Order: sequence, then structure tokens, then C-alpha cells
Amino acid sequence: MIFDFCMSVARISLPLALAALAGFWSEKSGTPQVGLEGFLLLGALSGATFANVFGALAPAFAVTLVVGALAGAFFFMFSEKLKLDAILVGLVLNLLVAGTAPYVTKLLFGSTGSTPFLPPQLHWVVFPYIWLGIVFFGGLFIFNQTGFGVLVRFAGEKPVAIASAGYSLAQVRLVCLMLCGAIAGSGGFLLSTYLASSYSPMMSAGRGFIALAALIFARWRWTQTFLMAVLFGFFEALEIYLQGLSSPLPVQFFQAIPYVATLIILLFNRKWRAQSVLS
Amino acid sequence: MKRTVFRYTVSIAIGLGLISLLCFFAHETPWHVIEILLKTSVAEPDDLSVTLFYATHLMFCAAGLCLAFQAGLFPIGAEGQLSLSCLMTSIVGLSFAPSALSFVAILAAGLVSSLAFGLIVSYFKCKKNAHEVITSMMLNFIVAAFANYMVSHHFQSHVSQNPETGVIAGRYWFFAPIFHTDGSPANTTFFLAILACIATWYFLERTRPGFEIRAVGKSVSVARNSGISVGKIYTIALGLSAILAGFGGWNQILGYAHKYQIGFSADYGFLAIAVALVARNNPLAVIPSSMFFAILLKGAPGLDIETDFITRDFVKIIQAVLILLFLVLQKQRDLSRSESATRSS
Repeated sequence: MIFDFCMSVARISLPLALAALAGFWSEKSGTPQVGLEGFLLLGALSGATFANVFGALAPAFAVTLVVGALAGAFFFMFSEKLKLDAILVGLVLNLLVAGTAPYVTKLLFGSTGSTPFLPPQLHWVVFPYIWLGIVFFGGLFIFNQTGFGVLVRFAGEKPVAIASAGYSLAQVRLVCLMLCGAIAGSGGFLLSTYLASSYSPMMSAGRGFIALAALIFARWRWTQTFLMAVLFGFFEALEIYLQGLSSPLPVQFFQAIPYVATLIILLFNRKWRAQSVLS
Repeated sequence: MKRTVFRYTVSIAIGLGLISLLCFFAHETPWHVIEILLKTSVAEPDDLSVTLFYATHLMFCAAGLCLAFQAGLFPIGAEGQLSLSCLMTSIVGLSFAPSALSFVAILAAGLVSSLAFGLIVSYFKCKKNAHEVITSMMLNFIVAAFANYMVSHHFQSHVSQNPETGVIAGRYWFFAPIFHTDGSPANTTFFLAILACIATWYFLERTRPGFEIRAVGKSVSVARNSGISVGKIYTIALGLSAILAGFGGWNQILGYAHKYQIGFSADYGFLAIAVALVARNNPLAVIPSSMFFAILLKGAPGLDIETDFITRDFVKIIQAVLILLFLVLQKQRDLSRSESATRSS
């Protein structure tokens, strides 16, 4: 029983953690990211679609990473090249993906909004966790041990310094946004192929925003962001578990936890500075 | 001026071009799509009534957003404020028997609860320097959970299978339908919404606090140096914007549904962002802009039925493209303006 529950926490945390870690790259490099929901949804759509087209998961996964990175580059074009407010670009991205997904499924599969179910043999058991491990430890290494990690910090905290050191701010942000898109896209991929076996409309169901909440709650620190995402995953699993029982606490209480927690942390965080350029 | 008009036309043309391209991909002509949208939204009195009802919601929310946008803020809490207002209005309506006092209470309930939402956002913005998008987004989700809880645990209607509250007493139905057909959604709050747009315009363009709001929106540092209290202006803008969104509760509960239904909102609060942007934050332009988006919203389900490949969500693409275009346009204008300012100095 407890084992089942832990497994369900792990399963639910996967897309949350990936989305939160994806948001980390974007926000650390100075691009506020409210488009995680859109990236997740896009990844879910592309994952289910290409898994259907190829009849295999591995190539679909690779294509989804590329699609996510391209979406990140699209984001970059508007936020950095055209200098639009990144928050608006994020909101538009969410809207655009929500509008495009039914259009694509209708054209390809003739159904309003969902893809056909994948056959049961197309189901990874271990790889999702390995992938999360790669993203987590890889990110830990890159951010703390490499020169690129230093550049990312500079991009977020002192953009001017990058140019004076002879690097391009735009390039750093582009790489970070593409990373963000690819990682969040992979989270969406797992949403539609691992947690479910097809894409269904709006299946991200606010997870992008919970991931953002986790990121803020962890105050933009890598390991804590991951742990927070797992914690919020735990609450979601608890909520699903309690729906079957008559619990003393209403389920809505658990639904609201990530959001209330974020507000509380903002309330007590005297120095709210995401990155100095974000505020 | 001429250049603005030119740019405006060009960007609309680009937008329409992109959308038409998507139509052609789906084996439809843009004309047919427009025809369906119009036919299912304004041709019949019944449909027109729904369209005007949507427009009412959009006008209230968008007029409020104009205020906040002009102050340089970007709250996205209109959706939560609208839900909260509707919820509180119906709760008050169900909890108190009609009396002189309760009439005042039910009218105030929506506005006050919505104002409280706005003031929380403004508190976080002014005192904690937290971005208003983040706080209002979190509050939106909290309101949704709260509304679910209140309906499912306390006010669930006993006669309905849907998640909704019972119907409030008939004496609370203040706003009569405009069209005398049964269940016509458009009600007299529609005229109130038009008045609200005009009043907002007057407030912004002709009063001192309105001027200060615009000044803060143009440049916070200049406004602060000329003695304007930025925090006060933020509070006024966010508060008034919340109150305007709160009027939606009158439209929804006192004018049409008379009960709170979970999921009643077709994302009016978010759609209003597009409405306000397309109206270029001018409350007077919000009136036609709301009508335009209300037609899109009402006509969208028609696309499901009448075309093979285009679904109702196509309207979301149209919205997204329009928002992006208008943002780019606004940015270009600001950039060219600051360029000419540096040149002349």
C-alpha cells in the first residue's frame, strides 16, 4: 500500500519536477517563465503524436526534445529579439498551444483534441526516472561546475557584465530558453506517454503553474526546486488518494496548497529578488 | 498619427493573413469561417443575446484591465475576481432573506470581495515587490479551489446534478433581460458596462488620479520624482480594476444565471486581456473590441459543427496571433517614440 503510494508520488512528480527544473534555466538567465504550461502541453502533444506516427517511443522522445527546444527559440525570438515582456510572451504561448493542439489532432487523427491510444507495449518503465536523473545531475554539474553555469548566473543577475566579458547575453538566454523548452517538453512527453497513453485536451491541468510555484517556493535553487516539485507531487498524490476515502479535510485544501505556499513565501521573503533583472 | 494608422493596418493585415493561411490548411476559406462566426453570433436574437452577455463580461473585465495596464501593471486576476464576485454574490443571496439591508449586501458582496482580491495583489506589489502576475495567478487558483469547496461542501443545489448552488430568491433578480425571450442571458448590466467603459475613460483622461496613473505607467521614476506616490497609484489602479471585474458578478448572478455554477466562465478574465490589448488600453475602444471578441467566443462552437477540420479552439489561435501583433506594434511605437525623444533633446 505504502509502496503503491510512493510509486504514485514518483509518477506524478516526474512532469512537475521536469517542468520546474526547466523553468529554473529560463528564470536564472533572466527570462521570467510563465509559459511552462504551454511547453508541457506541447511536449505532451508532440510525444503522443510522434509515438503514434513512428510506432516507437525513442524517436518520438528525440523529436519532442527538438520541438521543445524550437518552442524555446520561438519564445526567445519574441522575448529577446522583439523585446516583448516575457510574461506576456509566456501567456501567449500557453494560449497558442492550447489553440493549436486541437487543430493538429483534428487534421492528423480526425478527432477533436485527443490522439489515439498507444498500444500497451509502448510504455517505458525505468527510463523516465533515468531521464529525470540525467536532467537533475547534469544540471547540477553544469550550473555549479562549468563556465556556462557562471554565464547563466550573470545573465540573470548582471546582464551588463556578460557583454563586458565578451560574451553575448542573447546567446546565453537563447541556450537557456532552448534547454527550458526541451526539458519541459520532455516532461510533457512523459505526461502523455507515461502517466497516460494518449494526449487529451489540456492534460497539463495547471502543472506548469505548480512547477512555477515550486521554483519560487525554492527561491530559485536547483536542488530545493526539485525537492519542492516532489513535495507538491506528494500533495497531488495525496489528493487523488483521499478522493477515494472520506477524509476529514476537503480535497480542495490540497489543491490550494502549492498556491497558498507560494503566496506565504512571497509574504515572508523580505528580499524578493528572483534575479535582479526580473523585478 | 499617420504612421500609427499605417502600422495598425499593416499589423492587422499580417494577422489576418496568418489566420487565413491556417484556414486554407484546414481546407476552408477565411470567408466561410467569418460567415459561420457571424451567422451563429449576431443573426438571431437568441444568439445576439448570448453575444451581448459575453460582451458585458468582457467590457467590465477589460475596462478594469485598461486601468491597470495604463499604470504599467499587468495583473491577470480578472478571472479569479469575476469568479469570486459571482461566488460571494450567490452566497449572500442564498444566506439572507430579502430585506432592505440584504439588497445592499448582495450588491456590495461581489464588489467588495473582488476589491479584496485586488488589494492583496497590490499589497504584495507595493510592500513585498512581488510581481503582480505571479500573485494574481496564484490567487486565481486559490479562488477556484475555494469556489469548488464552498459549492461542493456547503451550497450544492439539491435539485441539480451539476456542481452549482441553489437559485437565489426572485426578488434579487435586479437586472431584467433585454430580450423578452425565455432565459435570454443579455440583461440591463450591458448598458451599465458601456457606462463603466465611458466612466473609466473619463477617469483616466480627465481626472487627476487618472493622469497620475498614466504618468506612473509612462515612467515610474519620473512620476516618483514629480511627487506622485507610486504605491498609492498602484493601489488605486489595482483596486478599481478589481471592482470593475467584480461587476461581472451582477451580470452573471443578478442578471442571468441566479446561481453559481462551477466552470461558468469561458475564461472571460483571460480573454479580456486580449480585448484590452487590441483596444490599446483605451476604455472607449474596449466597447467595440469586446463586441468583436464576444462574436468570436459565441461563434466558436459553430466552427465545430459547420466545418470539417476547424474546432472551437481555433479562436484561441486568433486571439494569440492578435495579442502578439498588438504587443509587437506597441513595442515598436514605444521604441520609435523614445528614439525621436533622444534625437530632439
